[in-house]
Amino acid sequence: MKALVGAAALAVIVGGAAAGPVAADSETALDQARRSAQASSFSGVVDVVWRDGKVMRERQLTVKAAGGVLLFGGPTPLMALDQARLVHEDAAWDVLWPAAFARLSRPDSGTKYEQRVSVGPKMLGYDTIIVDIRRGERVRERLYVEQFFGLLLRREQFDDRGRIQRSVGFRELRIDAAAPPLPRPVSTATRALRSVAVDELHGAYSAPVVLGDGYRRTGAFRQGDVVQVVYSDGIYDLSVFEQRGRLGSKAAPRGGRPVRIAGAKGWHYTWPGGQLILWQAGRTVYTVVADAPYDDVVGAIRTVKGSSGPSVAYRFRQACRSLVATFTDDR
Amino acid sequence: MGGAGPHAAEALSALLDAQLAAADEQVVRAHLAGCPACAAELRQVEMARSWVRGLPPVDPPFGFYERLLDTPRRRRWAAASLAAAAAASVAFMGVLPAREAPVKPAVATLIRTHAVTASVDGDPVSQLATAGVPVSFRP
Amino acid sequence: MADDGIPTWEEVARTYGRFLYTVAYRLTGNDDDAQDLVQDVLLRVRRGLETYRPGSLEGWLSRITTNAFLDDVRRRRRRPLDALPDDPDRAVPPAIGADETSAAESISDEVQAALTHLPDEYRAAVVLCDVVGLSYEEIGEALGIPVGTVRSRIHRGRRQLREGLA
Repeated sequence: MKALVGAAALAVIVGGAAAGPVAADSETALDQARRSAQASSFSGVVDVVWRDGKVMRERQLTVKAAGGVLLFGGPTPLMALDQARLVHEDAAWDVLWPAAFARLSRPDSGTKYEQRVSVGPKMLGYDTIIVDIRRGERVRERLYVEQFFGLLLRREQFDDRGRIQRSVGFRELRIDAAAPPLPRPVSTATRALRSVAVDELHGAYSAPVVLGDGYRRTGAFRQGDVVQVVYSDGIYDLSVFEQRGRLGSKAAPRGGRPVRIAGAKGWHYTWPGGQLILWQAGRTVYTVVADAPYDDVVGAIRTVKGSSGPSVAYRFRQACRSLVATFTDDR
Repeated sequence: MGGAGPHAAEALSALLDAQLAAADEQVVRAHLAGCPACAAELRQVEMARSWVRGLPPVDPPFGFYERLLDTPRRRRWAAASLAAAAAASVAFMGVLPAREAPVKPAVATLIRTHAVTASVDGDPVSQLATAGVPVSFRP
Repeated sequence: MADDGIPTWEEVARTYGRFLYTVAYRLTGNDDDAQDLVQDVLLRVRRGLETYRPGSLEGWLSRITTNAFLDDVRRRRRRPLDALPDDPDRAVPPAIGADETSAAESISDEVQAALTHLPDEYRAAVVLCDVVGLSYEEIGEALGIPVGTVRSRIHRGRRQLREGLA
């Protein structure tokens, strides 16, 4: 089976530890980990650790995968069924993400992040490669990838001081290529999640093409009256949820840290996968959920950059012409 | 027409912007044919011009216009200015909505929705695991 | 969303607001001043409606925007160009030794920085020509100067831009 972390990394493995760190090729280690997770069969327990203020918190989850089905145990089981995502709630499987949705294509992370590969430690009995995802001088994420199947064994995110902000990793793992496939749900309900073309938003919701810090829009979805605009910088994703209305006085969950976002009062929360920032601007409530560290997220949402659409001059003239038309019609 | 005496100077910009009368344009082009210094300056100025013309539009930060248009005192004058500019003032005044209903974002659901979206194109194990942990924000 | 052809309140704000913000941003060079300028312009648009005459709308809107910009510049001391901007939105101070990522991360940022370094009168002329797309005559009307001065300011602004981006 081919090494799944790229030809350059293979050279490192074959050449041994003396070869030293080399740059991986352009497909990220995360893309390859995804494919291997979908193709592999294994079972185990996963440790989820995250920093919440000054405290590190952790939970464990059981996980099984076989035949394209990936299943997390726990009070609310989650399933990845090939491309689709389902949740088991109220004694039934609900589709959170339909298989029919096109994959969101991520922008190239090459200009913002650099990947470096080196030989890793033995983990849970498996040989690993370390992929460091660097931003400038700093390592942002460290991936421990199992060498033969390419399964991601552990993932760590670091803050600017080099401390672990959060991590997800197997504490027990049995890879078993001969395991029988897991049963697929027979009947499922689909939530009213719709993929929307941004033009449909009619300018009523903010959906700029580019945010600060290298984030590009990759898709937009609507469920009820909540619009989700998704961005990616090639490594991390960021969702901007927008909802018409006003935050009631007790609407922000307890435990948030007050912050100011673009002149408005907001609240910041940490969840196992990253950050959540919630604020009200006029008659819209924004909830940003993002995987990157807090400072990066704030940098992205504070400076909204422009897209390369029709030139400003052209659009300005078009707008002026319609203004002139409405004025002259009125006379 | 100034600037096409010994050298073209400012007429070069006017040439690039098509702001020269036809006769003047001819004179400047004739001069350029025989003047390497002006030809070089034309290239420099043309570069600066194309860089600025290549700048993309800029969106304001999230919520800028919502906040601007929502302040009760400003709502009336802002509505008046833009509505009048769009020549639909009466209709606008009439459709200003009453105070919005209170909203409580379903934060746990939004987190799970995001994690699921991110897991489709990313590593499903590490992304979905974070969604599988029940959400609680202890103060 | 309205379906009778009359744009909704939000659509008007967003459709025209994006252009206004772009021009304001290219003139001022930063988000905070751009926001102030847009608010100022909207106020003036409302007050200036009596003086509007059809046919000169582009010049009229541009004149309002650049007048607001130049008035503001004359009124207060200009922010030192090299100082780091105030950051009231940052609730958490940066970690010790945190990366100070350069502001000019892309070509656009570099061009904008060079634009911001131009003298205000030059910048206004270059923005009206190359960002808004007005003719020299319209720019002259917007800035209240003769066409010859427009041409001169644009040319000198571009030369300085080119030098600033060498």
